[in-house]
Amino acid sequence: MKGYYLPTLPIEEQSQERKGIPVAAPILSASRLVEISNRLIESQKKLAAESIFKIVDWIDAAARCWADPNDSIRQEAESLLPQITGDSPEMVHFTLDDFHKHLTRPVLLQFLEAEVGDPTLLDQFRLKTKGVGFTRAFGPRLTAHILPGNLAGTAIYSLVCSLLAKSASLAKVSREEFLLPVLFARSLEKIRPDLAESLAVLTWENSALELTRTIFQKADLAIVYGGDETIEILRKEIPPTTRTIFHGHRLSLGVVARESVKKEIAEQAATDIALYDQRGCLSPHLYYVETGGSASPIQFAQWLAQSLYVSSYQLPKGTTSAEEAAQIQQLRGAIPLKGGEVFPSPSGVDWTVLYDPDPHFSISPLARTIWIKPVGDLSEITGHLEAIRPYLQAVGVAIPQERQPEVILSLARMGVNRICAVGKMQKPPLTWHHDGRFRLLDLLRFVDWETT
Amino acid sequence: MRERILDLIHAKAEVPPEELFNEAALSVFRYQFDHNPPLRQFCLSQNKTPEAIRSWEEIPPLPVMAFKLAEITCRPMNEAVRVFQSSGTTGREKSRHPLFDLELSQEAILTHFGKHLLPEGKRIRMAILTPSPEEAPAASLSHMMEVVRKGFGTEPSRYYIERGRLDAERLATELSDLQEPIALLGTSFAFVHLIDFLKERMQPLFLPEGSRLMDTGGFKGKSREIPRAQLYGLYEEYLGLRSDHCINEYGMAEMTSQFYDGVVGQNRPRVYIAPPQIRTRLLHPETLRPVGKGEIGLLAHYDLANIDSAMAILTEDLGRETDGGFILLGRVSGSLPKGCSITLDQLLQSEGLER
Repeated sequence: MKGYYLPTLPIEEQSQERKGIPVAAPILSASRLVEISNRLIESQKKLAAESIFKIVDWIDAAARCWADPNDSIRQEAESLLPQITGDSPEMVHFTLDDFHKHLTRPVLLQFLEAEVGDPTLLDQFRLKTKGVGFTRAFGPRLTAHILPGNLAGTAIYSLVCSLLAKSASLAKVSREEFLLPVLFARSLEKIRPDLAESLAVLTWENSALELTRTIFQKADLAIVYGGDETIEILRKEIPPTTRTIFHGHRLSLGVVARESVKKEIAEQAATDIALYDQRGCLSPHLYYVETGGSASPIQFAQWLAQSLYVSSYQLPKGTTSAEEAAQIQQLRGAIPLKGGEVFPSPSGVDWTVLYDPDPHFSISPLARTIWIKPVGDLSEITGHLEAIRPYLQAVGVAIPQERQPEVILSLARMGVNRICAVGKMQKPPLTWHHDGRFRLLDLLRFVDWETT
Repeated sequence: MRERILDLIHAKAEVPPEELFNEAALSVFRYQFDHNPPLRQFCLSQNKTPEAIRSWEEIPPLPVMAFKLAEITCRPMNEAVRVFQSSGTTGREKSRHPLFDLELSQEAILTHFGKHLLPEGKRIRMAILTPSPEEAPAASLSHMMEVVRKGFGTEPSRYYIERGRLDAERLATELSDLQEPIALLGTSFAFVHLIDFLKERMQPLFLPEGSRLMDTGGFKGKSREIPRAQLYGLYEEYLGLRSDHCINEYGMAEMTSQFYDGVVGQNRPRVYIAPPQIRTRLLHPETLRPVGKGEIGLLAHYDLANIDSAMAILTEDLGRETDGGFILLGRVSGSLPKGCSITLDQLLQSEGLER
């Protein structure tokens, strides 16, 4: 199968094997990427001339292919993804059933309204509601995407936002998560091949910096996903004239008030942990559980372990790397020596609940490993988050309504950008301010036409 | 018990008879179980007691992380002659490994270092690319260097890292003017700094015949990471050392003994061979059951020279068994997780002397 998407230009390929599947990878050079970029910039003219509603219809039609279990592209995804990403077939099924729901016409229109107000601003100059004259929104001609290696869904939303901005996209995807973006591009092509010419999804080694530099030079906007180290390296490769949006690594957690230490909440927490095997930036590393309720934090840990046992059948875990397993084994053996308690899966490292009386924030080795830490009062939590403040993302809460405002305000001040119910952490709406920013609005450039 | 361990350290064969090792291991385990409360707690959690154990392989290996979370010692910590520390990846806490028996540690270090680095049995001038033990009293590597300097070094041997900085200028000058062979000993990242310095000056060296090098440890964000094969190429190009004169040491702050992946002057495939007082098992990362020969496993070391701490330790390192020893497939420490989140290592950069 083709491990890339590049509709208009023929390109030399090399055969690679990824997890036992032969994959045709493009042979790229800096000059080749310049050609590809130029072609994309040319194709973008068609996209720029299209009405935003036609673009919404286009994405909606592609999403409907993904909703159809008999669609050939979806079937290809369903059969190949487990092998390539290491996710379980059930998890792949869930992913495929979920993402298209966020890309339907009503959802996209709601998203456009939330981000730009009047979507026709993307099509024509509109009278300014305040001030003088007219204004209109333009997307970048070409956006360079360095997409994350952990979750393919994120990659797709990044591409969709660029399409809504009427920008061409040149995306670098990871060797592990290339398939879904490639297949998504193919589903778009199936509906509107003319517009899909504005898309290219490619892979190359992270170490081939000259290639990455080339696309940064050609693009108006660079969207970069990666850890601190990647961002530090790539920041130096971006020319000052290319605008940049970085999405760094993030940490999420849960908070359970004493009134909510209940079995149902543990069951919902297990969903947040099991989905995507904690690979997402919205996946919890830890739950702070308040003491003084009718059930103790340690009881919560036990319930959570039982619920993870159930999840292991409903949504089986994917492959665990030796590195992840090594870290989990260390924690399992050592945590009891400092007064903690471990609730592990009966065999292997399918899941691990680590109860630890030390309230400092601890990072989980992931792969369904979760910390439970008791706190005397919810007001203590933000103090423990100081060390990870710049990385904070989402907090799942189970707190009675009357206690919420105070806790939520302090979490928000600390840097958290999404607060939701426990059990909903992995299901953000498209309108979520990812990393606290506008997803589409941030891509746009507004042109003001002062007529007087 | 101590005598038995010393006998093993001095044993002629690389692999002593199973029975000798087993007897010594069981008596060390019995002693540690009785005198080391956290270790006892760990063993009980694994349903293992000295009474129930017949073979050393049944002794449960303690995760190295335990050295961070509890005092893993059979004697009062404040009576230790040294307490080695290392930070790591998964906690704020530092690992603390006490040493009470200086002589036993010296014997373990010297016997095996001598066999691998100085097979001719002669003293040699040493250039040591680590801080001195005065400057880094908690670094197990500096302790080891001091032991070998005193045991095998000649008069002008010295340390070249002061106040955290490699004095590459002085080292390069001294190395370019040598009449006798030298042993360069240090961390891999210190050597990378030295080579970067020589490269910049366009000043490759040709060390006198018989010179040798021992490097150790990973890079851990200290300098650019270089694959080992490439590193050997650089040693040859910038120091004039053939790869059969470059030996890699594998050790850790939580272990008293060390492994080496070759013998100076012997051109054979690189394999870490355990000294007679150590046995290494490879365990499946998910089940902790032994893996078959040739399969990847977590390394669990049984180092009898760890007499007063924990003799059986489970590392985070992955390896594969090969003829007579094992090869290292990278140390988990510092590896990036799959998720879009971070390791604590990225939050709290580790310090210098990790190995």
